[in-house]
Amino acid sequence: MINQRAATGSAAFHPLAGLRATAQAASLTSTSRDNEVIKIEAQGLNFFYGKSQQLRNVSLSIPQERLTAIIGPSGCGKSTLLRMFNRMYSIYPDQTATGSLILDGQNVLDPGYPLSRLRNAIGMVFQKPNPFPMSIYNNVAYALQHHERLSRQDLNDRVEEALRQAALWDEVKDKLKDSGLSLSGGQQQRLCIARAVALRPEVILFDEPTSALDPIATSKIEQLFYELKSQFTLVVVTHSMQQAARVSDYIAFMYMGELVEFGNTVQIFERPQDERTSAYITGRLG
Amino acid sequence: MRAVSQSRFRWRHAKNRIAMGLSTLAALFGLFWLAWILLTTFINGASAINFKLFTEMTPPPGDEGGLLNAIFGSLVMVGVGIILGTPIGIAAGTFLAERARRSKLGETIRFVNDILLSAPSIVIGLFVYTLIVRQTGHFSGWAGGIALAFILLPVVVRTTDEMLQLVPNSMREAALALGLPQWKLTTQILYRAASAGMVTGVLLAIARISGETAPLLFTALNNQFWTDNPANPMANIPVVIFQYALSPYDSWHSLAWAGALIVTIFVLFISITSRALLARRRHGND
Ligand SMILES: Nc1ncnc2c1ncn2[C@@H]1O[C@H](COP(=O)(O)OP(=O)(O)O)[C@@H](O)[C@H]1O
Ligand SMILES: [Mg+2]
Repeated sequence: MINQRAATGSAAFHPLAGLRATAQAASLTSTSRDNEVIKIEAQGLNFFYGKSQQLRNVSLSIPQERLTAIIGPSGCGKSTLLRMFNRMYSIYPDQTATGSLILDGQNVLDPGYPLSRLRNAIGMVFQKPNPFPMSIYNNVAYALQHHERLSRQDLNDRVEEALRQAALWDEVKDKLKDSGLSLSGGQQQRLCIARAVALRPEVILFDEPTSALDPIATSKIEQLFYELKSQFTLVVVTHSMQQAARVSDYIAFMYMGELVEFGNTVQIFERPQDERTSAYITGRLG
Repeated sequence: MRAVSQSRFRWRHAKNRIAMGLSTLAALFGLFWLAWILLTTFINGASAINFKLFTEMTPPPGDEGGLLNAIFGSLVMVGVGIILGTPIGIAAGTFLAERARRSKLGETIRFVNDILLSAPSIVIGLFVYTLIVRQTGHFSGWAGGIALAFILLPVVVRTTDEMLQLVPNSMREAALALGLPQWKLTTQILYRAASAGMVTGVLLAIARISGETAPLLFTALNNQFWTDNPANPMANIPVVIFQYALSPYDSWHSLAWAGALIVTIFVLFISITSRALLARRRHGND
């Protein structure tokens, strides 16, 4: 079913139209993934909640300015893996990780790698929209002001740029002083994207960013992915295979704390190498 | 059959009515005394209210006079209580919520704080009496303010702790994921998210200390004359009410009623303000 959609999707509306483009682009590179520039190189990642190990020896390469989807059944460790990329886990004392995550030649899991720099380089958008209890403008400007010294004018420009990149500018430009909490759920999520984009990160992580949104808001965010990946490397956790098929260039399929298979989207859907992958994409697993 | 179920239905209906009737009676019983107390205070107090209350000092026995020194003394000592108790309370509450949520140390502090919260205020008065009045050798406004701070403190600690714990963790993760440091997260985002509840806690604590008599009896005592120096014994409304109400003089009785009315209106005003604040906040969050 999905294979078919992935192969023949030709509807005019954006996500599927985009899917076809993606499928074509992806099949061009399918023979040699090495043509891609690698943004993050993960090697031998293990993760522990206290003593319980939830990731086992995960290694994968995240290609630059592509969308990599992490899929797999609930509880397989998708969020756990994603939260290693920006060391989000480190705020919880009982969570530990081993292995290496190389970003621009440096291991970001090294405790010596400054957290502030890491989180400036790698942004994150969460499952539930979580704008700060402040104005729309300040939601975007606040962290930006922390990381960069900007004149009033430059700050205004950067806020506008970020809101435009998040496809939110036209909806909020006349009410920048209103509370971020006054927006709808989908708008709030795009505000959170603007907030992350404003720092001009290299990578943006998304943890099931549309699972709390209605279909229209979801499709807006999916369209947004296309624009964002011309500038940023995107890593998106999703539990929806349809979404992965629509938006991703590469797919990492996880199962029970292990990375079962990594490949370009067309290959994963058309020629899965592992029995568990084909079981999952045909709905026989999880 | 029908008759049986009919009579059962009636019996249930009757039981329901009896229970409703009894609980309504209980509520009315409580409200009756409250209304009586308020009414007596308003009737006796209103006839005692005049301009001289706010321009003249407390009189010698049997004479006419006002409450200016007592009103001023109360404001000063409640002010000292707020200035000392609020920052310490907020800092301690923040520590509990953000650094000691489930730790043994945190639980111990919460337990001790709850004891302090329910400690009879006369015990606190005696404590400050030994701590300060005995050491300095005389009653003083400072000692009164410190005693009030001890009563305000645990209320502020508890509400701060609880209100911060209500802020969803995703707010913390969102801020940290943007590379913001912990102190900015706490002061600019968490306090803002919890502000309505925290302010309400402080207001309710103020309402509580503005009527306290026992702790002031042992610390500030009273002063028939004007003083703006808290190093001296200081007049204050609760102690004036206490002494004048027990006296045999009509003029003192009416001053006691006026004082009671002033405190009641002040406390009502604060309670209503805090309610309105919470209601507005709840509304604004929707
Ligand atoms: N804070 C935690 N403490 C202990 N175990 C956790 C915690 N968070 C997740 N887990 C466990 O780790 C596994 C992977 O969780 P997660 O990465 O959230 O899965 P996914 O995002 O794929 O649904 C699950 O078995 C889950 O129960
Ligand atoms: Mg998850």
